[in-house]
Amino acid sequence: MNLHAVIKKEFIQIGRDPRSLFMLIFFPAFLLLFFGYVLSFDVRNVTLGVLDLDSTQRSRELTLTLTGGEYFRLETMFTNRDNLDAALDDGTVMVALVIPEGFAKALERGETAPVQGFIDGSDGRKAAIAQGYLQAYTTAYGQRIVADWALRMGRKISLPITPEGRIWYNPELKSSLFLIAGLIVFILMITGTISTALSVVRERERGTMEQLLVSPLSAVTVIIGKTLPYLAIAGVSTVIILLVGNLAFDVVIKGSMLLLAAAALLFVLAALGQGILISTITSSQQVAFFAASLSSMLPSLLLSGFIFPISGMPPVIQAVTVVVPAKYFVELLRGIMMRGAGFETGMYDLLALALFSTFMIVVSAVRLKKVRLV
Amino acid sequence: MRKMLARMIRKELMQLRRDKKMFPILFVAPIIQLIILGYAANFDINDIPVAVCDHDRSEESAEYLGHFFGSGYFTRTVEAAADRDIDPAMDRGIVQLGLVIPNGFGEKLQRGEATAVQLLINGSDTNYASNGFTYAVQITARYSAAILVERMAALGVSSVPGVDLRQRVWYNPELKTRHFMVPALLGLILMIITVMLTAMAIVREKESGTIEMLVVTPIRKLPVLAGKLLPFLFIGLIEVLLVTLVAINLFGIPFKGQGWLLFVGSLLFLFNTLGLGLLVSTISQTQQQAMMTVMFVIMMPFIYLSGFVFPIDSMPEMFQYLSKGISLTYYLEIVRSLFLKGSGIEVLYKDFIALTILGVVTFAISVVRFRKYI
Repeated sequence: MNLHAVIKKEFIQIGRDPRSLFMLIFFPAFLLLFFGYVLSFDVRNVTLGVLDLDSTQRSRELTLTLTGGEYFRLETMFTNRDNLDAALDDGTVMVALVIPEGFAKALERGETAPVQGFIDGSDGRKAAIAQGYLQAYTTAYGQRIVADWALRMGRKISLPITPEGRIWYNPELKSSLFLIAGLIVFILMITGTISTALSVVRERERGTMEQLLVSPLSAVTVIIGKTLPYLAIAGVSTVIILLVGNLAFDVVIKGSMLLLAAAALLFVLAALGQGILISTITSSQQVAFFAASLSSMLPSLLLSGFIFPISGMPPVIQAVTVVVPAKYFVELLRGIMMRGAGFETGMYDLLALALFSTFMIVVSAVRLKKVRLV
Repeated sequence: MRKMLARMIRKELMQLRRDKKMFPILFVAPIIQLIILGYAANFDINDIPVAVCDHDRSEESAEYLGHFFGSGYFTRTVEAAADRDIDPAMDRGIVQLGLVIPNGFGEKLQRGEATAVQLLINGSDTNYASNGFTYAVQITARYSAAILVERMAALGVSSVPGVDLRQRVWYNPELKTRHFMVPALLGLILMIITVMLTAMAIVREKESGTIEMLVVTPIRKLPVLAGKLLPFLFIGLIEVLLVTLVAINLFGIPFKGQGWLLFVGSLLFLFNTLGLGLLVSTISQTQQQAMMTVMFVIMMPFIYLSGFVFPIDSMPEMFQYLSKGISLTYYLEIVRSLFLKGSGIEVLYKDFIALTILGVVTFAISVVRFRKYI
């Protein structure tokens, strides 16, 4: 009964600040809607500059081949080498291609004609992909030249090996799918860890915690009563994200809904435990916020495999990711949403989440008993 | 007047220091974060795990596979006896790519006919998928071209026309994503700390009612404001210094530009973030509200639209314009150019002007609002 009263009090307090409540419930879905269309890791429209020293039909053909697709966008034609250097320096172009004089003649004679590509490697990931595109386009062009040439000599040749690609699970490589998992993690972390920590510390800052604790309520009841409303908010927000994902981006949950619910619950419990833990060691909302966001949000975004692949991290950091609950949660979410994973494939990750939530709850309960919240 | 300002600053620093955990969390935590994230924020993709199903088991297929895995991008993790054995490995996320070599691959190549290999891509990690696919296609195309030349040679044609692309990467020749991400983390850390700190510190005085007390003192409003903001400016500048030192000394990222440009750029960016913090404080009543507003309305769009991880060129046009209204976009451009390219003022002046304009506008709006409120 007492718990009931604390929950009611917390809801009244949350209701007094409708803006925060609104943001917690609807903003993640809005962000998904907004960014789902925008965000993509795809590299398109790479800015290209060409220095065509040959100026023949052949060399123009090569330029046209490159800019024909959506991968390269012809930004400028250079007139000399200094232009090219300057354009790479100030970032006007990312890729510069030099077609030397005698390009068409060499091809005519049946020789190999060299061309040079210069790439701004600042953004290593993008540059690697642009490099791949450039290579692929010139290879394709070269093959066409060979085919033309063979035809003229009265022979028909075909490409020895063609790679046929088939993409599973997410055939259009939609980033919105990718993003939904990340947004759910993000919102659960904000409501679970940050809001909880702040709401407890706020009562300490204002001195109202004292009043709560001198009432016949036990500290544990107070804390549980304060956290349960956030659990509810997190739940509602997650459902809205999934609905928006489904309606706007056709994201269908292929796997077990039950597994999804179980995973979300375990993850949010771990997050709540972390929030309570932080509230027991900080005494101002500012510090609580930084402690909570640095220990929960950033690792969840950057160490969970949400944005950066874990297999690309050095071994030490990979070892660190083992204790980031978000890693297991992201893995589970992706499995459920894209690969239709059920309990048998998700068992291991679910178990890890269960371990984390038990650990966090136990540790925060112990801390709660030990410290005086006042 | 100057004395008043000095006193206000002292008061503010005293208030910050009163919470003993404040300074460690402001200076130590971001550095630890930077170190972990600097190692984690890595898109470099090599050793992509692959499942191979070789139906042909011929000399030719072995040679092709040797070439494929000799590239260094892929690791042969699973040997599948049948196509369907690839499924479970993909489902559990053990492999990211499946490679199927059909029956008769070797024979067809010997007869000079065309054949195909199948690439199955795990699309649930879009970044992995598109990179892995690009690499695989590239390797296959190059191998295929070599076979073509061999065939022509067998026909007695010694010279075959072709285009030989020589690529050179500038600024970051090893294409390390870390060199691109670590300088950007400076912008991220600076933004999170200064916007949040400013907003919360001012709202805190609102919450406790002390801001009214300050305003009724004989101190004019502007010194009150300056006194509140200047300490955060100092904190931000110290943060810049610390992060730069870690980036150079720990991550070995060369700083090629001029130090004073970094200083001026950071100053302009801080002008923006402090203005934003002030703006949020004028529209928030509680620290929790301020936190939520900063997180959802400022941080998320800034992180997503600034080009921090998602390439701006690939966004829809409307969003490319939006990204131009974000100060972080310009600051990241400045920091990355300074670190990687050593660009001078003649290249960066546009970004400096943009930062100045955005800063003045933000500040003007927030100061007007601040005065109105008080």
